Amino acid sequence: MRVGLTISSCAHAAVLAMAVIGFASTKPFEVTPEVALPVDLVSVEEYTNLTTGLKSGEIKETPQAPKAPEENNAAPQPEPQPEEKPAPAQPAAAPEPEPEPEPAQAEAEPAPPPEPEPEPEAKPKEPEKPQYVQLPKKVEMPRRPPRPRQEVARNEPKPTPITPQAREEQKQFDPDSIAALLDKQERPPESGGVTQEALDGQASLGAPTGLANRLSMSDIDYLRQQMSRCWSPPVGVLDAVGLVVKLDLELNLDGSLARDPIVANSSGAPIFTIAAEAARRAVIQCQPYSLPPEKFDVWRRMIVNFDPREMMGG
Amino acid sequence: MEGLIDSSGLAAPAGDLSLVTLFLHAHIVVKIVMIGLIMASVWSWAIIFDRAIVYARSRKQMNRFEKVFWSGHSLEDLYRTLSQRPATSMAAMFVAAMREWQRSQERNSGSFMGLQMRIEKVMDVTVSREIERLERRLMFLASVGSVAPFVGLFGTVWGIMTSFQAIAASENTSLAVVAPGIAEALFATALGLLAAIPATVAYNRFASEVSRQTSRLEGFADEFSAILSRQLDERM
Repeated sequence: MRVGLTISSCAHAAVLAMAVIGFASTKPFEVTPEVALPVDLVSVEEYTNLTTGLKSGEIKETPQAPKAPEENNAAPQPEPQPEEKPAPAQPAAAPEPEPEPEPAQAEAEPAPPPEPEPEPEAKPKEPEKPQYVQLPKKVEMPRRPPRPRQEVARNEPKPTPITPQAREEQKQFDPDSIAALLDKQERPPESGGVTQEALDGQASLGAPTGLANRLSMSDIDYLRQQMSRCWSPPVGVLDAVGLVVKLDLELNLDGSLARDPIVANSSGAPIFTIAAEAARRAVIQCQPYSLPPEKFDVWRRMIVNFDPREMMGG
Repeated sequence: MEGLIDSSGLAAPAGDLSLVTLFLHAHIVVKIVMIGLIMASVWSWAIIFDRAIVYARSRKQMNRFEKVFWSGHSLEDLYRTLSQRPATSMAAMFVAAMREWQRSQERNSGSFMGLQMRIEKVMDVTVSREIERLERRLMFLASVGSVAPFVGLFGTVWGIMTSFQAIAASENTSLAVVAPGIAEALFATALGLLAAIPATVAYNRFASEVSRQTSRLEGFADEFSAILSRQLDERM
């Protein structure tokens, strides 16, 4: 036994010494720091509730800027078109001449229609100087205008051989219009909010928050979760198929109930009365609710669909 | 033994995360577990060496004895030479049986059946004594093999527990804070496995060796009692 013990102790001492020497030089990992990618969390609301306005947008009652070009479009000559494209940026003043020439032509000169035709043909040479001035506009032309132009063209199918004066007026260089165009282009393409204009080509001033003033899904879920805390379903309610209790609530700004909830629907099922009473009790018991105060005008008065089974899930 | 390990550990230059610093920083419970496991490892290796020597020697003796026994020498001569010194295994069995035989012969009394039974009894006792001698300390190997991992695991759990408490106290969860405690705790499991694996392997090997030698002894006992019984029958 003594021999074994001696051998064993010596071997252990040797192994330990070796391990101590060997492990002492444990190499630290060489980690190259990774560049962190910034990730933004984007809520769906930004894409679903679209009422963001553009600064350059106009109030809807006023005639809209894009209207201006379609006269040119409808005009027979194809050549002058490129010159006059920049016109959409022209201020609301532009449309004004529109109605004027029409009656003028219709009433006074039925004969002249051939007249204006030669003139525009000659024009390309004349307005070349102003064209250079307007060049920057052309470069900055957004691709959007075609759509509104066609729409409006359909709405106003007047052939309108426009009088040269009117055209001259339109071609006049207007620094404000450049500013307006530049402003539009400045909008960074990756900015989250989508403007109304991008959707239907009509710019509007929009709401200040940029979001439709209604409760988002997360708000509704949060409210449901708050309610489900106090919800203890009576026997049999969970088995009832298609049982939904509609509760008409009126809330204060602090989330408490302004009055007792009213059951807004009815059903012949005997279980409905029990479920409705239980739902009413739950809603009363769990107040006050915390909801985004900036949307108070939305949730001040609301009708909640109280589906017993969904409530259990939440 | 402990002092030996400690001194050998302290003699080495203490690195930042070397085994020595790991051991020194450990909680007292983990330290005790580690020391206990190292001692168990030392002791089980001592047993392994010891048993290996014992079995090798015993096998060699058996071989030599069988060679001599079946060489055709007279059993009385063999008995005379073997009874001079303390014998083991087969030789001890042979000596015990022959002694009983001699005594019965000297008195020359009693039935042959009684003599036969006495001889078998004596040989049985010797065989069981031999088995006991062979199996000695094997149970320690078995216990180390089965218990050491649990002890090591206990040390690890304890170490991780204390290191988590330390983390909670320092309110810093960076890996640099967590890692040393975990490494030190895992060291206990490593030691447990280090002790358990050789012990288990050795136990299995030695158990089969013991059963082989036992069956060899019993076979010899049967053969020898058959020879003696033939002698008794011839003498009648």
